[in-house]
Amino acid sequence: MKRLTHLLLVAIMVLAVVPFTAAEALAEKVFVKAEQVAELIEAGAPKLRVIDCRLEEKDYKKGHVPGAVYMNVRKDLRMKGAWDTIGVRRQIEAQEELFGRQLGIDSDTMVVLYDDEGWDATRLFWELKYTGHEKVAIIFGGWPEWQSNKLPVSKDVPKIEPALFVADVQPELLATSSYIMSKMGDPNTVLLDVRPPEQFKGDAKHPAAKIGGRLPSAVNAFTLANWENKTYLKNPAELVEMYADLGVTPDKEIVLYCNTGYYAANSYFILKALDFPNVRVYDYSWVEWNGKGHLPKIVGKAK
Amino acid sequence: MAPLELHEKVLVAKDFLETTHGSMACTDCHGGDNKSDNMKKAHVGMTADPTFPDATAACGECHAEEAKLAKTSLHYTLATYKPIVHQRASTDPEKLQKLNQGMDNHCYSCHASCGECHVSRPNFAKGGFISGHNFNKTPDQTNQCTACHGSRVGNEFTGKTGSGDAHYTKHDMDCMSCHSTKDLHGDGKSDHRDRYDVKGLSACADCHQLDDSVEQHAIHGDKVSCYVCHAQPYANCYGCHVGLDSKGLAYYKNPDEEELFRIGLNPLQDEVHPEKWILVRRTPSVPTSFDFYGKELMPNFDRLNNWKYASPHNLQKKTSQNRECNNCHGNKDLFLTEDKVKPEFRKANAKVIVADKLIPEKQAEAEQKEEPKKKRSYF
Repeated sequence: MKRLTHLLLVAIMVLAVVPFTAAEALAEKVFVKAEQVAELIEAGAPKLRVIDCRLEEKDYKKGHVPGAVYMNVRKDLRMKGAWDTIGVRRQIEAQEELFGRQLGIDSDTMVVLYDDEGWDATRLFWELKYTGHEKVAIIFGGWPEWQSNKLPVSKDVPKIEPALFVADVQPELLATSSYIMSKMGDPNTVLLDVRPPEQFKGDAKHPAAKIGGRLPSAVNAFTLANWENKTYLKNPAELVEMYADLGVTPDKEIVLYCNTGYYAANSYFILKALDFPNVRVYDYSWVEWNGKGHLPKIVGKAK
Repeated sequence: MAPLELHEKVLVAKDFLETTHGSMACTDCHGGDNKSDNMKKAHVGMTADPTFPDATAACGECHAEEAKLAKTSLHYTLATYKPIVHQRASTDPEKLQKLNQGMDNHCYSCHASCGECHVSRPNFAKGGFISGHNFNKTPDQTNQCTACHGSRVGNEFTGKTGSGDAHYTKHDMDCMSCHSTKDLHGDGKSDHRDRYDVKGLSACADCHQLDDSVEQHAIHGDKVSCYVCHAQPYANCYGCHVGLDSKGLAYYKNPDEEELFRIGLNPLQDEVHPEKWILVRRTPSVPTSFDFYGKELMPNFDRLNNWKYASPHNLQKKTSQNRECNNCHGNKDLFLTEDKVKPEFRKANAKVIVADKLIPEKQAEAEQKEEPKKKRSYF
């Protein structure tokens, strides 16, 4: 009887290790295929946390990836900061609380994100990377891809076991206004404005900004133009070429900004998918920059 | 575009009074009685927009030619809608009347007068002066042009969808940089076949000399529309339905919209558009669009195609399809083949649909100038 129990335990351990290894492998790339995630869930992979980042919680309630928890990124990650900035990163202690206690993520957890708009999951992706969590990927094609593959859907809300999330802040992922000032004119740094061209030119502005305009020397590539049908990132070869035309190449440091950090986080994800090694997000972005009188600006006509 | 504040909508700026228009009496254009000290009496016979439906009295004295053209301008008349819809309509007079009622409530509630392009925002965008009643000679792109042409053209042009139009993003051009007065005021004709049938419309070749110095221009010549190579995917709408709500207010329902890129055959090759290959856009019309007003109002729907000539305003020098020959050649995905048209609309679109055998053949690798690129993948 003792021997039988021992064999059973070994068998359970082997079964548990296989999906765990598969989940580990996902961390190498920023995208994961919907079918791969479905297989991991089916195999009962431990330490897997799937997060539904769709805008509407009611959509989550109608059906979601089995085992997924819901997070409203635009609400739960948004807070007001200095200089009337909004949508900025939360305090690190608050992030630890959110990721660890509320979402049950610890350093070994493989986090898989999805949405249906193409830019909510990417904001959480950057937040996790900034707080030092390596194992995070986004489902290619998001929720539409999950549905079109007719993969299993559940209405069950999983019970979350709180975990200890200890942030290991990665300052090289972040840019501040003073950092950008120190890099102005540096040929090895490219300042990339990822807002719609209308805002880059200053013909339109974010409601929280007082004036329309941009940072001097910035080039423009609207982040959502990189996606097809919202959740499918365009052909990588084509994107690399498009960025190269703007002078945005992997050998340079790329500093991204938008209005409140959400679009910039989206472009961070895109450049990571394209293997750019050195990318920073200026998450206070134009909403902070436009209000600081001493910072240089190219001002547009939007008031 | 944020709505104007109430005071902005109606406040007449002091500097307006120093302009030519401002030196006239309000009553010269708007009517009413400026001698009366009774508000009600002073407003009798007053009109808020004296330029619609006839601008002759208000504008004609100084701008005779423009006021005359306005009468037939499509901005005023939208005159091409009815002839197009009537080709599909029932010949039963009762049904035709119901269809006309629907069109009057919806299609013809929208127009742009002289005032709505030169003084205020258009009614469609809730009106209001854009500069304290000052007149602007050229319409303002944000407040006037894209206030109506916003959801598709404006979004494409300024890059709210796609990468924007290089004319705007790279060269700082606005609507009026390409669209001449003739485009906007019309050519004086009142029997246009469609909105492209206006004599002297702006064209790419007005600025871009299509000589043979660019190899691809020499190869494709006037067989392929400029848009086929230089446009990005654009919005397509399916199934617009109209009706009136419980308060009698007109509504439009267009539940399905999709960004697509579709090359089709040009069904109306003429002097202005001689190209064989054009881009086609799915227009929102369906046989049941006016069902709120009566059933089977358009039994002859098949007489006209509902995949129509498209001129997306999101042009770029380099696009996904013009990077390599075989991005188009042999790439069935880009062409409006039969399988991409719903069975019930195949007859209507027979002249636009591209048969598989017509799709240009894939080019041999050796003929390609560039070295094959290293394949990249996200996985």
